[in-house]
Amino acid sequence: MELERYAELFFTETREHLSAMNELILELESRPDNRQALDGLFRSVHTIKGMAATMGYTAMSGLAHEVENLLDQLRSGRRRADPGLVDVLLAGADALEMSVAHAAGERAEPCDSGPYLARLQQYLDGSAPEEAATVSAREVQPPAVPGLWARVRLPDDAPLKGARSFLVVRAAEQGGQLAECHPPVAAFQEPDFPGVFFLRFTPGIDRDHVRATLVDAGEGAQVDFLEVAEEAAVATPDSTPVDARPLRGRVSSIRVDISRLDALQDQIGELVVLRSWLRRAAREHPTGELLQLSARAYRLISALQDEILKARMVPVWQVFDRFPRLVRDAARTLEKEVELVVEGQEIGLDRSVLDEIVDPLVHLLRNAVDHGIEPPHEREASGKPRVGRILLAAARQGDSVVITVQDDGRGIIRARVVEKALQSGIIELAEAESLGVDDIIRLVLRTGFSTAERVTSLSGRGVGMDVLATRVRALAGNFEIHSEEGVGTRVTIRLPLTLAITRALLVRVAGEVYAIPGMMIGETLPLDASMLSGADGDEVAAIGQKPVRVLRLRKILQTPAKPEPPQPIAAVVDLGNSRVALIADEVVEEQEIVVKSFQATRGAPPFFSGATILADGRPALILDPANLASVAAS
Amino acid sequence: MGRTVLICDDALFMRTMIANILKGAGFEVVGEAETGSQAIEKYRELKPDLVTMDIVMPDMGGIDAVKAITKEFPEARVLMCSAMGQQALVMEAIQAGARDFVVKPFQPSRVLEAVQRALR
Repeated sequence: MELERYAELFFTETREHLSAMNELILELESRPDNRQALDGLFRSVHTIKGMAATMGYTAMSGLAHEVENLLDQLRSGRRRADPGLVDVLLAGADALEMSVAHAAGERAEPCDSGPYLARLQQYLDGSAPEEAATVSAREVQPPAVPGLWARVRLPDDAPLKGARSFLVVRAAEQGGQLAECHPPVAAFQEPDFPGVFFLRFTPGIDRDHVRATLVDAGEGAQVDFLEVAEEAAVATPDSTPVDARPLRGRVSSIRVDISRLDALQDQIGELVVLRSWLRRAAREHPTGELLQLSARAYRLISALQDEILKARMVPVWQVFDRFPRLVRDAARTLEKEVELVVEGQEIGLDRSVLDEIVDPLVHLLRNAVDHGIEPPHEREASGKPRVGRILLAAARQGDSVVITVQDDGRGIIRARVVEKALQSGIIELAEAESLGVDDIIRLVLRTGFSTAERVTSLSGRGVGMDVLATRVRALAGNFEIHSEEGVGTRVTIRLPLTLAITRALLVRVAGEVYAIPGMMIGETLPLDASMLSGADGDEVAAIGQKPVRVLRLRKILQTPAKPEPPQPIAAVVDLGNSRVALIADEVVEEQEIVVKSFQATRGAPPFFSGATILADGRPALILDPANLASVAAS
Repeated sequence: MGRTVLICDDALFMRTMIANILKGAGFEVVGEAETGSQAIEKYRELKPDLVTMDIVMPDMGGIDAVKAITKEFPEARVLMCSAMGQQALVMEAIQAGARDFVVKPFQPSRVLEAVQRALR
């Protein structure tokens, strides 16, 4: 049987169970008497064991078996879920996870389950190994009772020999001529039951038939008659005709490979472009039929678009549910006490957006535990509750999802950031005094910047905050950091519900149309020369309360020299903690575009995040404002 | 017309695998259940020729489901799907009227043989 067919399903389902395991183990830790959690945990491990064995992942299956043994002791009340045992269980879950990763080809080195097994075994001290003793097919002597005996010997590789023997006895009974069984059926359950037993029949059986029945029920058991009887009788286990009434089962949900959804979405994306095209044509040649067709197509395609978006949505808990474990482990390692509160678990987000945001969230949470939350004594000294609190919340706001990570820790400490920035020469002493809150946060977001006093396995390597910035912008979202010393830090991330279709501002630059992701745009306004100040390349425009850096698209895109329009437009783009004004010739329109990500070839300018097809069928490039800003700066 | 079968297992992976093995042998999978109580409901609704029954399932386990089904439908043909180490449970199921059993990891040939026996 080609097991690869099942591999995908196996991995998906096993990971779901692992995720459930982690959650249930933590639940057990806080409520050791939660029988439901224990039962759920047992089922998950048991299911993994069965599936792994079937896939031929012997080590994984063996590991699951060990964890199951431990859980069995919990279920029977022989042990309690004390913290030590919870650690062993978590270690078991980790080992299983590594084992899965290896099997999935994501991890080169095979899972070494040895240490975990040793740890488990150490915990299981005294308990006898529960594996059935190796069965030696030792002979059982037939009892000294005269009559016709059949000796039944199950094949050596027959699983559950006791149960199988029981079935053989039942099959023999059906003939109505079984007189006696030796050893008695009760003995079949003994762990060392060798799968050999004797059946005495009443005289007059059809031996061939009985033999056939026993061999069949015994999965090819070896059957020998030890005494001979002459008469024949027919004992036919009747097979009653079965009333077959086939009815279709109803299936309420199915699993679909995400790549299928991607493909479907691409096609629908093409339809969306056609829709705009058709609409435009109908406006230009407004005949009754064309208008009707266009309106109808518009509705249908919009509905289709809605459907595919919904189909791609997954609730955020699919990712969030691994975080309690993560925070717990981080807190334990750092000897802090932290409570993670998760809100909005049911909020849906496009699968691919969700996948992209996991790493930044992991980083934010670790940061919150490591740098944010103070050690318990320090918290108590400053009049805070001993246990730190981290809030992870998701909420839907219009066409976007807002994810908040908030802690009640010490906040970003200005002095430390300034000191570090001075040390690494990012800022001058003279600047230090005048730095505002936003400037401080911008420093924190710089690549390679870290105020951590030591590098721990959790954080402090200076990678992270800039990853958040890059990733969120790549998703055409934005984020904001708010921090107050001594009170805590809040990071708010705003993401589009879906990646594929987004509103964009189309602008013209030297005759070409470019798209700017709509979510990032704060405002658009005509640029007046009086607003500008500063030298070429260092220009700022007075827009709003603070001067905004000016990026002239003609210059950055190196368009052929054409006379610049008398009054270009400025699109003010929000880059998280700073704003820039993109200067274009004119605004074309605001429109929904279908994003086609492209693989930029090496050497291609980095400030395009993708491409789209406009309503008139022409392609347009999508600008990545953050990269534009950094290209312009360098 | 193939024989009809109801597959009861809480793991989709297992259900899929069993379904494929049985479909390959000409069976028609008319229903699937993820819990013991679902199995009973579906049995009443579908009256399949054969039921494959996992032992460990949430809500109500396979043993109780077999007991309930065979009590109501003595002619029901139930094939237990067991893991190693569940001997006592399998014997209990047989006592309750299960016709045969297979042990994970499944080998298609063994599953089909057990199915044939259960249907006899």
